Amino acid sequence: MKSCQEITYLASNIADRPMTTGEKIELHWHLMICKHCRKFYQNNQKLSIILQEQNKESTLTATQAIHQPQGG
Amino acid sequence: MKELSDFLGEQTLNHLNTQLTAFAYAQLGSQSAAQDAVQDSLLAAVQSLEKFKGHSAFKSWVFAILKHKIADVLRTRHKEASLYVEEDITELVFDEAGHWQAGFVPSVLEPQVATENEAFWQVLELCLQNLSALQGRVFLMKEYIGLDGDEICRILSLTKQNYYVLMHRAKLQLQVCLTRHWFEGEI
Repeated sequence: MKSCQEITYLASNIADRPMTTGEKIELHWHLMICKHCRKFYQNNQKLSIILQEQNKESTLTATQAIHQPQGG
Repeated sequence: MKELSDFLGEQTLNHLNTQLTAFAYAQLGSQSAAQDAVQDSLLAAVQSLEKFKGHSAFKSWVFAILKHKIADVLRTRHKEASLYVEEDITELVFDEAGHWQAGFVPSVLEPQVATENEAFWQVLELCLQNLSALQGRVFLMKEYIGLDGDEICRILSLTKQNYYVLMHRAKLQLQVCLTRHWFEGEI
């Protein structure tokens, strides 16, 4: 059975690292029963969303700045 | 350095020192690292002082030594970065059996509150700055810029294994920092 340390490693790289079926089952089973690892996993997803939204916003601001040159 | 100031004169030596330090600083980005490299190069150059008749030949010689020193420093840094001599957060967060240690467990992050809150961004920014340079780059390239793992590994010359380890540590480090500073208000 994997430890919390190993589970957070799998959870951190869920988007990039190919997982075996065994790893997937173990990860999701662990997340169901362990609230600390579950929070870690959910926080990562939230942070990811927050940063992507922020990126979109700042791209938008930058685009607006280009189309509305200051001074004029 | 007495020999050296006799050979070059105090003023030329000071001027040379400034030039060398500025050059090293531009490559190394740290004043103390630059001074160390210059000091080492001057000491090495002094040892073959008798071979030089003119100042300019000596200057070129010191610069050549300094370039080698800088290359050495950069090479070591690169090696350290890829070997992760940087602080290993997992040793703090988990005990020997790999269980969460008390005081390091994550808190629940509320995104609705967070995104609208200026203070949250300040804390997040602080926590991102607290990541090691490589962890910060990897994390932001992935989560903020939206590059995929393969691309990041190619750009930073990392192995996939390195990348996974960096992401794991960056995420742990961030959550420990956010828990400390945001949820417990210990700024």
